[in-house]
Amino acid sequence: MTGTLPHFTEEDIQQINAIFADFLRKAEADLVLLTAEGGFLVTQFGNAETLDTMTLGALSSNSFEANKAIAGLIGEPTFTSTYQAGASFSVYVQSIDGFNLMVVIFPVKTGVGAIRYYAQTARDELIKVFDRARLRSPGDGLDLALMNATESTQIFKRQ
Amino acid sequence: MALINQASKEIQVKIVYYGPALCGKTTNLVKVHENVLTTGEKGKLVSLANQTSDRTLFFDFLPIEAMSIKGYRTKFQLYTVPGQVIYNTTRQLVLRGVDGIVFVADSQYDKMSENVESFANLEENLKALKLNLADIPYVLQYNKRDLPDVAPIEYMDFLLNNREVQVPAFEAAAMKCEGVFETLNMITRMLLHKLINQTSQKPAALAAA
Repeated sequence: MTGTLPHFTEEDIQQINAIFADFLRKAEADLVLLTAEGGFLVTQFGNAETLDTMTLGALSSNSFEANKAIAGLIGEPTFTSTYQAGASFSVYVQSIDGFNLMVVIFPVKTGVGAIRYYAQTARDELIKVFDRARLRSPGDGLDLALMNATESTQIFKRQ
Repeated sequence: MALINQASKEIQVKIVYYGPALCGKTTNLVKVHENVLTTGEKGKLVSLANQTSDRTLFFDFLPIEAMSIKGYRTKFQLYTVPGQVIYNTTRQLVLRGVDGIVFVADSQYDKMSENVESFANLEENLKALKLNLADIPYVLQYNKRDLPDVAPIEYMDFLLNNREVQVPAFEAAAMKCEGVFETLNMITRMLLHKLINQTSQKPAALAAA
């Protein structure tokens, strides 16, 4: 582990969800995901319906990283956001702290300008939660020694 | 790095299958997807591949939820990298945040130089991400053992596993699903051991400080 990812507690996630609820209401978006470096889906808020949000988060994260590589090729330090316009729905991805991302799904009737504007505010609030979480010891409140790794020898079984 | 989410009682782990072109990385994921017996959720296998040649362009991605361990749901994200030499930037992207690596080697004699080159490329790409292979759990899989003209295991160990502490190596014929689950279970076990050690050592380290 490289230590870039905070260890989220239930309280952290509640705070993140409150930020996302406020963001969705103001920006009139449908769904927002929080993904971590590596493409992990940390949490989601809004109307996911039948969407495969785990795959959506992983693909969005990798796509964003590919765009950062493009930025490097054209001499930009990085891209902090990307926007993909669709016929019915669009996707806006906003970097939070260089490692974690907000992935926003919104209908085309909602302008990307509003999404971008409110996403900046949400990002600033999220950074405060992340900073608090990073100050916490990664082991606090969690003892993985309770897990019995010997049980993992057959964690994946063949049919 | 693994994600431990206490709120949802989840542990998410990323495993990357690395190796030279056409060594069977995608086949490993296909066979896991086809054959895994899971009580949890088995996600879709997403392949970002060339439409005509079926070669991996970006990566393959398979999310699998395994059994709960002491109340924690363990979710594994399995990725492959594109093996073709020209896609090195993509391989670096996919390695970002990796927790464990399966290096898939092609056992055919005439593929040995490609195996060695790919392994060196893995180490270089990790260095570019400020990671060290010695710090990351990894296993070797000697694939295509069912084909004629394969190199002896001892020779492959000499080429790829010739270090002070040898890592586990598995013979496999991924097309027949032989060795696929043995490899996956070993890297899983090594990963969980590492996570447990890291979290249990942390308080002691703090106390010592």
